[in-house]
Amino acid sequence: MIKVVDGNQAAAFGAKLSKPDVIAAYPITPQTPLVEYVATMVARGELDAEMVEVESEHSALSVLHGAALAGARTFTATSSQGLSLMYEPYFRTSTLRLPVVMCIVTREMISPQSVWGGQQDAVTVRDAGWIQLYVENNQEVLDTVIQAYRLAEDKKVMLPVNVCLDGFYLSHMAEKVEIPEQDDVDRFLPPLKMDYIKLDPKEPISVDPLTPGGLLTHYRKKHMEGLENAKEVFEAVDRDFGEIFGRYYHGKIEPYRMDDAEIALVTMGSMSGTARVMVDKARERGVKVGFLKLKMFRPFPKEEFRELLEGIDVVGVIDRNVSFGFSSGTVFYELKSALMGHHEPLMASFIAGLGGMDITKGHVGTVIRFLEKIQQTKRVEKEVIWMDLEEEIWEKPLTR
Amino acid sequence: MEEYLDWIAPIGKDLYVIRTGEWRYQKPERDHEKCKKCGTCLIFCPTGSIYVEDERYETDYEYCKGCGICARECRADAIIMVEEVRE
Amino acid sequence: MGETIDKIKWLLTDKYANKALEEEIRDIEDLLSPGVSTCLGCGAEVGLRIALKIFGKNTILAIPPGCMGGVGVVGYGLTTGAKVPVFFPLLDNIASMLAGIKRQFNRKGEKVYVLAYAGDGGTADVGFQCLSGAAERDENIIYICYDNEGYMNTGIQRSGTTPYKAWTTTTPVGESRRGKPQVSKNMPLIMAMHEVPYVATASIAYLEDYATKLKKAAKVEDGLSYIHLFTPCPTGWRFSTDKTIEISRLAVETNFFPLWEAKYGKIRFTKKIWFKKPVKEYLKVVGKYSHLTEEEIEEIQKLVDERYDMLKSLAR
Ligand code: SF4
Ligand code: SF4
Ligand code: SF4
Repeated sequence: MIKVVDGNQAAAFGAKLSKPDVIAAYPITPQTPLVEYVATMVARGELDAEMVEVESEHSALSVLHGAALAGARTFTATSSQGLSLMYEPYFRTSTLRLPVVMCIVTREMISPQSVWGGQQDAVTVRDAGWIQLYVENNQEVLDTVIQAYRLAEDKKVMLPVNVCLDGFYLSHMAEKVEIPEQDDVDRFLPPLKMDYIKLDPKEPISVDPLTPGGLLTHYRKKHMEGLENAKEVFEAVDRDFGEIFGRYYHGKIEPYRMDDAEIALVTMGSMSGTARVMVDKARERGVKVGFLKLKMFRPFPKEEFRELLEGIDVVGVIDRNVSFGFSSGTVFYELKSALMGHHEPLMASFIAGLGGMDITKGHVGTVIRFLEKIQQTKRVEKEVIWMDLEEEIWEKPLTR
Repeated sequence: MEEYLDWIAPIGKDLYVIRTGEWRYQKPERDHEKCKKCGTCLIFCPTGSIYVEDERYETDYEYCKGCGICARECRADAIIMVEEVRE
Repeated sequence: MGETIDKIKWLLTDKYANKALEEEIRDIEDLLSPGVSTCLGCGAEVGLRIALKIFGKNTILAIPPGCMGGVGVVGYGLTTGAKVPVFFPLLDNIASMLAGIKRQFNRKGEKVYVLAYAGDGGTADVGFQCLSGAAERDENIIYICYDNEGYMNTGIQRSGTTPYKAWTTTTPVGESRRGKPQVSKNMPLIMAMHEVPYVATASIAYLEDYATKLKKAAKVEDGLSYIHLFTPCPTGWRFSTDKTIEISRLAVETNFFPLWEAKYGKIRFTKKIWFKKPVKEYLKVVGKYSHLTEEEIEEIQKLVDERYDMLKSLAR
């Protein structure tokens, strides 16, 4: 069935088809419609789940902790300030190995006061032990939510997953989306089985006793192994999904026109659509450029990047976020450190699309020209470029 | 160490027990003649160390910490606290 | 005179109440580890052992960070401190985690008591928001707050329920400040005003009354039940370890901590105090009040009376 839905609704459909037992959420712009859609599905009896309308995001995730420990498949969604309020149970979701699926409808962090898009929220919590998947369009939103459950609940993984969709650019834009059949989803996604941690009077154990350092180190290592396993498991999940539903997303990183490329762009989220168009355009001019759409940001696919960027001259990373402290975009520095000691292309970081600003064709085109220049001069004079502040790099004057 | 290698999340299975009787510096002694079997000491003992055997109220010295609550609450003055002597 | 009244009171009521409870619980298995590292004479420990005896094995127990967590009730390393499933919620998500557990068990159609035994910090301060939310949503959970009037596990700091003028390490007594300058948060009344099915205060000096209230809480199926349990702490309150029960009793007999219950917000006293004692008798045995002057004691007496009168005006 084809429907025209926005990203929030696509996420709600994805959740519904995955048959969660318990849903808890607290409304926040731009995720609010997602909560309303899910609540409506439950109210109409289309979705048989416990819906808990909690008093805060902190409680949203906490309710899911309890539910998951009682064996439930769980779902929630949040954004920005809600995510940061959640941080305490957020870290604990992964360290208790609870396979929660949570959409982050990405949004700028305040201050300054803003309710608009940006990936700062999700990117800031990158080292809290979750898996994070970033998506390009509404079809991918829906599909990835379903995939996220398969990934989270794989016994080699057993970790929570964020599906990150760009606030407003995806959450509030309607597109044609194919809604999968329930039977197919049931075939793809087996029921959840949790027996390594649970609260059940039939088997009285303690959950999270005081743990000495040596044992804690053991759990940390196991956790990291789970994250590493996720890289491989996700490839299989994506392939299986492709076989059943006919849509394949190339797993962790999707390469586009990279075969003979000398210049590579790296993007994450909805800006990838624009990058696709602009790479085609540059190709028409004869520029050997391709791009890599990073879907799995956590765990960071180091090995795959090394392979895909082998022999590439110049790499430009567009980040819809900043890394305070490293003074560049976040994906940029992560990629740079991943390539250290391997083939090291010339690299530049482009910061764009903050606070709801659009990443236009103009932006991507300008980035490509900038990278061409680096390729010609073989020099990176400026490593970090603030796309919307530095007029001199634009061919035409900036209009804000 | 081996046994928990496949444990991936923090859980506990065996019962955690501290021999709290070793902390005791004074010890409750019950005069069974005086005891009116009212049960008061049994309910108030924080460590749950008082039990009934053959209709007599006894103290489990494995866990009794010697707080003195039983002696204080006993209305029959059947319990006195004496100094704990250990080798 | 005072002693005679105490004796009559004992013979007429407490003796029978204690015996009745003793007969009921003495052969029930203790579901807590026999050896946990609470201090000598810990009031909170009695409250937990009795609660587990009343609720039995079909219980899931939340022990948030605090004294009961610190002493090993959730276990250590690869062990557990209880014979029922037990876990550490976060200090500030106790009621929410319980709600999630209960919802899923309801969904599975399995009956289980979902119980928190939480200190006053996790209840009245940092965890208050989620408790209030769970109460408003009628989550079917049972919440016992063991009130030792401060953060004892971190070493006796003031909390929202620390009483007026009481000494703690963060409300010290000196030239310009004499204990806590504010009155305590009236937590049980706040919970009663949520109009949940069941709220009660209880004291470890009146265990039979406590047990009765636990049983009433267990019966509730349409919302939250909350029991505010007064548990003196010899370590943090500065009194000798044998006086825990006596002090609890004095708190009730002076109306410092009245015993009552509320069904859907309708308050009823459960223990009538026939011969009310002056609050001074309570204050003088508790070390954390040892700095009080006569005037300060008078002031506290007034506050206690006012609170009691307010409660009386609400009760039927
Ligand atoms: S309190 Fe005293 S009289 Fe009552 S059972 Fe215990 S020892 Fe006997
Ligand atoms: S001294 Fe304390 S711990 Fe020992 S039996 Fe008496 S009340 Fe229990
Ligand atoms: S500090 Fe107080 S409440 Fe905590 S274990 Fe010791 S006596 Fe009990």
